[in-house]
Amino acid sequence: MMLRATGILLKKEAHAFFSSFTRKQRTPDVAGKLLSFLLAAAIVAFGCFALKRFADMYLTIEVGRVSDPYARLYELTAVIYTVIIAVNALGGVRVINRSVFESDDLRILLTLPLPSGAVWLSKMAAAYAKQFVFGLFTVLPVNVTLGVCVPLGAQFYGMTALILVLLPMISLGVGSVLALPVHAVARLISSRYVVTLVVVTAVTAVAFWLYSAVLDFIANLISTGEARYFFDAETMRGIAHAVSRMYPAVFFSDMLLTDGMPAAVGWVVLIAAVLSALSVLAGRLMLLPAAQDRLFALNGRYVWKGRSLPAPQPRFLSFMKKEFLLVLRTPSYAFGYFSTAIVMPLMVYFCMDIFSELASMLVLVDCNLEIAVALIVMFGILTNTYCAGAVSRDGEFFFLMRTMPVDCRTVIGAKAAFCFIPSAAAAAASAGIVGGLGYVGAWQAVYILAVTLAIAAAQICFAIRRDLTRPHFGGSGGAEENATLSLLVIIGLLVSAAIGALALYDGIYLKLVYGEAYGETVSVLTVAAIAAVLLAAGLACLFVRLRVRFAEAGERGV
Amino acid sequence: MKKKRSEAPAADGGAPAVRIEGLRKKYPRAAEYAVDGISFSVERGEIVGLLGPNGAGKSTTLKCLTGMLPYREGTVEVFGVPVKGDATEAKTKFGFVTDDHAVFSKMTGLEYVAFMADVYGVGRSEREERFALLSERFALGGKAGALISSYSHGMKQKICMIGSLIHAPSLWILDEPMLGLDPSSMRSVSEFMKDYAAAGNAVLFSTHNLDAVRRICDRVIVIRGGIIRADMPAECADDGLIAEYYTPEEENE
Repeated sequence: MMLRATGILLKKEAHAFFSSFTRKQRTPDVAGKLLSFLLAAAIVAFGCFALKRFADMYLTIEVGRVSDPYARLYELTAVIYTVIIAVNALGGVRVINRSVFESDDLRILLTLPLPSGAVWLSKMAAAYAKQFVFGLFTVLPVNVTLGVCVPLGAQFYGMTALILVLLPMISLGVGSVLALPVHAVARLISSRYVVTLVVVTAVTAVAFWLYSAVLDFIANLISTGEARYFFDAETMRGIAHAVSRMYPAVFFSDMLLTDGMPAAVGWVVLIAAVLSALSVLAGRLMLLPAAQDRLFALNGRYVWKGRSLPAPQPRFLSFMKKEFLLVLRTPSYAFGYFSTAIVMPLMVYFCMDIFSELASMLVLVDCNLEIAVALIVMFGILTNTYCAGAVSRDGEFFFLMRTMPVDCRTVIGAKAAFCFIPSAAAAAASAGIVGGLGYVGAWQAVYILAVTLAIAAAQICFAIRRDLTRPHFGGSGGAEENATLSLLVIIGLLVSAAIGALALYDGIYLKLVYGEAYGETVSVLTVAAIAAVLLAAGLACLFVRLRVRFAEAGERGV
Repeated sequence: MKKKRSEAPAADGGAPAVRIEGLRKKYPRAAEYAVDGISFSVERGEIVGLLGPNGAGKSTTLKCLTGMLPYREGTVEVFGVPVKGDATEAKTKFGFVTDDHAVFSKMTGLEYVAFMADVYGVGRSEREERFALLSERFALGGKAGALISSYSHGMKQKICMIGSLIHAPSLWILDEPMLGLDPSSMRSVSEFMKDYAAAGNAVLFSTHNLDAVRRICDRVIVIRGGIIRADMPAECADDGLIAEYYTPEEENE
């Protein structure tokens, strides 16, 4: 019974796993898939490049005037595998929580006469496949890069394959144990919408700051040659000491690089087996019963305890309030709307600092205004992508709104206005930062703000029009919303690149050839004209024939 | 036939609550008409039930009537006001409850009702008075402050009904209103419909529940294949007759 049930469920999971690659969609998100592929390739390529540069430097460090690249490689792999294991374990928690607590099919599976062990095994098999694919993008590029730095033999590559097989078992084992506490914490804060938003925003901002600080540090080390001084004898002793305690990562280093490979393989297999057994126990005894409670329970949280109705408001404000509540109480939307908008000025600040310094060194012309325009327009366009599902997220209620005595311009205008608020706030803060820190003058900051607002409004109009023409009302996400999002990102990046390139061309070339005043005037007028044209086109695109589009949106779905 | 309930004052020249003439509706890329030349009317003070098997065209008719779906052929009027193009005026005259509980689940019940009251321009005192009355009639309990996503199926149906009635429309349109309601709630809704119509308003709803139709309605209209097969007093709608109208012609033969 157990084997047969497991077989049936594994077939179902395999079908679900592969159908995401083979399923024919009405509107395949080609742009999105291409963008995701390019983005993943860019991240992997950048990571490999940075690792190669760092490894080249690190492997030549001498300790006590003795160069030992293999000892350095051992340390490097131990540190890298500690990070990989941690990242994979976090991924394991996420995969398990998704497949257990957010899985629709579990609602049905739990009511069928199937052993819970079979259900759990099938879920774990699907999670294993996902983690294996994830491992291909983390373990493989790292090991290939290290293999390029130092000649390594068959043991290294053979063990790489074994690690790819064993690592998901370890990460899922750790994930199974941590899944329930993580889910409990997530549940605890998920209904505290404002708290969640503040925490997520703060964490994102700190992550960006750390990322830029680490990049800055590594770039400094590599470019200034200060690495030798930083990794002095005392630091190297400390690293060796720390590495010797990095379990289980040191076993991976032993597997890949030393004669202690057989023992290390034994240890890793043992750890994987113990964690897998723990995973089965945790799954059957804790996660599935907890999932049963969660999946079939109603969330009875009282958000607003008043007993009387909220005070009357004008229609337009009421529609905006509806948008606000929907976004605030959906964590993914709230992050898209508010957190990215708050983080945008920080990104502008970090990048302005770097690019302004770079430009002053390279071209000897003050082109801060043009750099600020390019940066704020680009980050603004990337931030505004949250409006991709502004219509679709109404779900079935969109159809009911068509039965209301309200002009469609009120409904759609409220959406556009609501999308515009965080965008405008982020643009204002960004312009304030470049103006306040003296990169540009006060009037120049106002000009940057005006241009950014016009482009943001245009982008929001285009996005809402696209979503209105091809909506999906089946819940959050979906191919249509992804397709709209991908288009927004790709077209937005192209437009911002074009505007940035034009501004910088005017700001650098024309200033050098014809003088600063001429170059700046041309730059300002060019970008302002583009922004004005985009705004006019965006407004026309959204509001011309809006009534017809509103009446016919999603007709097949009614 | 049951006795007609009290007539509402006819400021609009006594036009019927609903008048549909030759309505035809075809969905994009569909081969056949979902509704193929339907004509009927609903008078003030009348309760009319739309009966028919799944896919008969009941919901499509109601959705065209409420402006949810655009249509190209036929005439649809609410109290003499056409429901086509800018139908804002017509839409103020009815309240509509969909079959899929189309509400914002991220709002609380109170927020949702207040939103609907804002949409229909209902003042503070009227909305509070009506909400108190309706939540008592539909036994909403103390749940109004909770998120709608936490509501049961029946509770969602109730909050949809309250939202649709907060502006006291003269016509109440409901798509499958009895689905998912417990017997007690079903009785409350039935009683409310009767009282509402007795006050001179009209009620039009679709259902599969023949028992409810006989208990509540003045008239029953049977639709199948997008065409009206019967339009008769509710008391004439016995099981045998309805079964005959429900069955495809080829089977009858």
